[in-house]
Amino acid sequence: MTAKRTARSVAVMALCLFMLTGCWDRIELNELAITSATSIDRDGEDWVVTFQVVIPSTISSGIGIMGAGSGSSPVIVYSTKGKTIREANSRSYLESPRKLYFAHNRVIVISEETARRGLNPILDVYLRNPDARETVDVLISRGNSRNVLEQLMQIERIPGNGIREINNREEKYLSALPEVKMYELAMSLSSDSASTLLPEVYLSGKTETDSLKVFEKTTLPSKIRLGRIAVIKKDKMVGWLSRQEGLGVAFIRNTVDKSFIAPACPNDPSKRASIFLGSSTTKLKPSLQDGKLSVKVQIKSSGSLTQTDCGAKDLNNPETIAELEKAAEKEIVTYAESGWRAVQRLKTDAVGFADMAHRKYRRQWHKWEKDWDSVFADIQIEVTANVTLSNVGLSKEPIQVERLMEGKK
Amino acid sequence: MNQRISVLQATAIIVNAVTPSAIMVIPNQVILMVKQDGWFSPLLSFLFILPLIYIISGICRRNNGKPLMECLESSFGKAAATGIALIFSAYYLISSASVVRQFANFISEQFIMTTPLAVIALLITFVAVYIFAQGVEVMGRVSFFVLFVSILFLGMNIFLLWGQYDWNHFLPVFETTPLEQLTASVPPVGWLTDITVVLLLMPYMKASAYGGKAAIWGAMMATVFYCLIIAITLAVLGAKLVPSLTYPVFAALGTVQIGEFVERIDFILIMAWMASMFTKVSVFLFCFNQMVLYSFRLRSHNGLYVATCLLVTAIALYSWPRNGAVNEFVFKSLTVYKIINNYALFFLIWIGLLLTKRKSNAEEAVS
Amino acid sequence: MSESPKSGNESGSDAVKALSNDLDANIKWLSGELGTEPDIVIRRFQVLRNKRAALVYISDISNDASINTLMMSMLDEGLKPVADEYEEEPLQALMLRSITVGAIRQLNSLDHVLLAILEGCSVILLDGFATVIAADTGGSEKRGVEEPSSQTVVRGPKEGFTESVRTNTALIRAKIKSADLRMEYKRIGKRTQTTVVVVYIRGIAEEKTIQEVNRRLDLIDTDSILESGYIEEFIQDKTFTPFPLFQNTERPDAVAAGLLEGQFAIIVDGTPFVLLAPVTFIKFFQSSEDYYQRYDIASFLRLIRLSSFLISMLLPSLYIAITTFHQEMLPTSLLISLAAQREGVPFPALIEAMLMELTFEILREAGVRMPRIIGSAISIVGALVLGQSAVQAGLVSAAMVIVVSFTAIASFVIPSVNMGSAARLIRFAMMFLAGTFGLFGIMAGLMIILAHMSGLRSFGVSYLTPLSPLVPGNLKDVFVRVPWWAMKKRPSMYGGEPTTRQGSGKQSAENQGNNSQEGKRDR
Repeated sequence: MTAKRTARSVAVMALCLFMLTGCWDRIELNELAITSATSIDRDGEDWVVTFQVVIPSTISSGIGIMGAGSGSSPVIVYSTKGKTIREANSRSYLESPRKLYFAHNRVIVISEETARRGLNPILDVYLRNPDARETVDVLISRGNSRNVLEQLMQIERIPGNGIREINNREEKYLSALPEVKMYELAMSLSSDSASTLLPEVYLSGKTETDSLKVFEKTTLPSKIRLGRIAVIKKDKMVGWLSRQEGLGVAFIRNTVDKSFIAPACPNDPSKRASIFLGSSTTKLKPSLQDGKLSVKVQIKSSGSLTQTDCGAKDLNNPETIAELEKAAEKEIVTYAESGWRAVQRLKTDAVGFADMAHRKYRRQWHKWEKDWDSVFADIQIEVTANVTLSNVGLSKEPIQVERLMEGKK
Repeated sequence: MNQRISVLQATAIIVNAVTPSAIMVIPNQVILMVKQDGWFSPLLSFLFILPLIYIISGICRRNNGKPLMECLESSFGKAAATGIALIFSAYYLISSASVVRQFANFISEQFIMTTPLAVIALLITFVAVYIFAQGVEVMGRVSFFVLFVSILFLGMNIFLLWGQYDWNHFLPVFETTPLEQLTASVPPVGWLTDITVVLLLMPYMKASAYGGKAAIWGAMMATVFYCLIIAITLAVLGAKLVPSLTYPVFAALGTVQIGEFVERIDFILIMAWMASMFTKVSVFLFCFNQMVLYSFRLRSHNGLYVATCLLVTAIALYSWPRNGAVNEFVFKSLTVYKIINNYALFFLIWIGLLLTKRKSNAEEAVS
Repeated sequence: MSESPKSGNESGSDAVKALSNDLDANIKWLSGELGTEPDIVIRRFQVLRNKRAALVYISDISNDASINTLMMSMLDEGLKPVADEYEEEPLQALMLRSITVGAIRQLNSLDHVLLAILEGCSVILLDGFATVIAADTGGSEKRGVEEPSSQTVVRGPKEGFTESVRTNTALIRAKIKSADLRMEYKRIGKRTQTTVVVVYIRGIAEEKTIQEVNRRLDLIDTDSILESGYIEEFIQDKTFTPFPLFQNTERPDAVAAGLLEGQFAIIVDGTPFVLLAPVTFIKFFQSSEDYYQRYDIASFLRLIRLSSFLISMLLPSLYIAITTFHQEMLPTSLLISLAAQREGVPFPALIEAMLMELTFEILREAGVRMPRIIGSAISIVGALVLGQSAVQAGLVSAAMVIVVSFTAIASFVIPSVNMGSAARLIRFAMMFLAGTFGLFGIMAGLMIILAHMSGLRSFGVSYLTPLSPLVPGNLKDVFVRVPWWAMKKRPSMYGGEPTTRQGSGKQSAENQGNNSQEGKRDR
């Protein structure tokens, strides 16, 4: 009985101890500097890290106590410099009244120079620290990346979230630029092809939109936009792809979800139709001849006609549709081939053929592995596309006013 | 105090004793060796564990519902039995200390970095001791509950991760040599040998034949768990990235992102995993307690629980100077130790039991 | 013997003090014991022509009408000629011919006589006899059967127990007209001599459990039992637990349902709250209305109640853990909105939550204790002053007010008040754990609670049955309630035989209807 009592009192005392000494890691919400975007630049050998920190009270319109209202900037941007990324981070304590908090960091913008000098340290930081999440979107900026973070947006109050949303929507509906998360970047760089594509974000326009005054107008003098596609090979950036090339590579990589293409009309090359591709899948059929690898790229898409300017044609006629489909197929093949040429030019296996080769030709792979670049340079591809127009929209022939008037007579 | 547990509960105890800390390190260990064929290793190791299950059910049938140590005492004499009990005490002490440390490390690295490790470890052992101090029946029930919840959450997570899977990560299949496969199946074998805890649960089972049954079900479920976990990790992260991560499973789960709201769902599974870890520690401490009680002819006592709590915490904290050291220990030494202690020792005991049985049979025949 | 009854009383209660043959001595002893209070009536009269007799009772706790009738009948008897055969046995004559009260007892010991008087019996003493007749003329003021105030239903019987044990047993008897319904009377409390009735159905309740409860009741050695809560604390399996090990109810239908499932009930005189045991955790979430409503809505409500229990136990601690340790679990927009609300709040989240929870507990206690008339004042002060103004003054964040009020509302969903208070107590412990260790602390707390609950027993029945240990057959009435016709067997978890409730075969009219239709089609 007494033993029971001692045990119990020990337990109670232990609990009290827990409580008295507790709260080591507690951090209140109003002690956090919620970072919505980070950018990384190089300055000589130093790293310059820029943070875009959200000011909650300007964004949330609750019963704000210190509510500064919508008149003040929703974010502040500041940079710190250090010999490593994390050292730069730690320097933030010199100027930030709050602890930087990265779990809600949506995008990381890396300047072109940084990317060309190597991404390893960045990957290490993100995979090592539990507070930095691997699900952050990675983008490349031309020039100084801090400018991108300083840019304000109109609809989305937090620019970091805005960039992510743009990137996300673009990948969903255009598929030309991929949305790459940090862990995906790490995965593709550690895969056999050791290369990947990253989207570019840049400021279009002349002056920077970093003052709230510009919000009084309907058009911003400068905007955040997505541009080209950066090609990364073994942690270093090697070059750019245009959007067309990017879409072509995406077709080969089978990463196209939805997209738009505008093929020339079959009967009149000066005019164009527009097709929304609802879904697209690509099959790679490698074959080996005399030790040389050749790949058949078979793209299969289905889509719907969203606009046509192709003269008078009855769109219910299967032949008309077949012609349009053929035009679309030609367009897709052109895209894919231009993409292929681009990656061959950059000597980078951004299409992921190495993984395919490893899976298909296990034995040869060990030979190729050492010098994949030269093998890759010799690969021949043959692109075929198969487009099904499943839907022509609500009017069964191209709308042309002249013909409509005739019909009236 | 006539406590009874069902086969289901015994199975749950086994699964909880074998799985939770293993799933933290197994993907890492296995994928490092055999890359994309990692999912196969647990299946292979299940084959290796079958003889052990046979031994277990043999011993179970032999001792006929008596506590393991009493049975050994009657066969080998008091001194030998005490020796065996001491060896087991050491094993369970070291195992539980390493589990406590692993658990505390994880909590400390992932969630509460500045909280002193000692406090975390003390809380862990306190909870574990509390669970087993309530008796085997409670341990069985808690294990069953935890297992149920874990399966539920694991299923949910597998479903939520659906968009993240890339089946190509499994290709090409069987690239590795059989030798590599064999080596890679050693760590799962090591973890699986802990199904021997069922022998200590013997006196609480309704019939001694249930011991073997629980062992085989437990081993099967654990194998399935290992396979699933390795497969998920592979499918999400790919074979190349996994070995460089400390907690690949949780990294894989952390990638779930569906819309704006469904994020960090891995927390739910981590909560279930924590529950499972608490149960595991309590099972090991229960075994340790049983062995100590036998070795030193003690009676169950509340003071003993407090002592166990403090001892295990102290060993967990001060045996390994750095967090990395315990990983190193778990990766290398512990696997070997587990196999030697659980596999080899029980094999010897089994042989011994067979011999003494033959001897006693012969004596009976003579008389 | 007769000269010193007092000393006998003092020397030891074991010796039974017999009555004297002398009427005067008896009356003297009784009046000495009872005192000369105005409500103690000692009425002398003559019966059977010339026998001296006395009627002793306490007027306040007796029914005037029945005493009047009794007196009238006995005085009548005094006038009538007496048949010879009764000369020898006047007591028999009285009982056979003139006592108008139904329930009478013959008593021999003074203590019993005293007790009978204190209970409200009228005691008839006859000169020359050491035996008295106690006639049950009890009947003090009692409350009528009203709608229970603590457990209301939309659909279902509206009657509730009262403070009178007789009314309560009557209410149960009215529900279960079975000869197997057993009621064992006991008196507990040396001074209060409270009537305690153990009710069970023979053949459904387990014999061993009934023996055990009788044993435990007999072990109670106290001077007073004023409410069933006394009994509960004396005989529950474990004292140091926040979880109730007895169900208490004001509803006769709930008791009847419990009896029919194999539980036993303990009725204590003087309180409308009847105890039911053995009990399992899930039992506290079953409202009697579940069984009157359609099974689908009943199942839905049951799930709501279970989740409310979790909410009321865990929500504040989860809020603390997530906002101060695991902010990454929140969606960005929610995080920013919460962070904005917390701007300028002076307290850490843990202190803030403790303050608000304590405030709520105070408000709630005030609401229970205060006179009904000033009720609206409290709600205005509570809602406006403490809620809105505290937020506007920047003392607490709006989100915290939402969390605390939601927790409070969720705690009222639990049908059983004592389970609700278990959740309340645990809530505070969990808040501390969450404030110290975050989610890890919550998990540690949950494991302790789980282990604790797994180890709890109520009269040998594990608290978490049928979940753990798993009894698949009893799962029909846990998270969901299946239709009545599907619950063929009685739940076996309270022990006893799992007897059938319904006949074999599907009993639903739907099924029978289908069959008959098929029959028609065949024709």
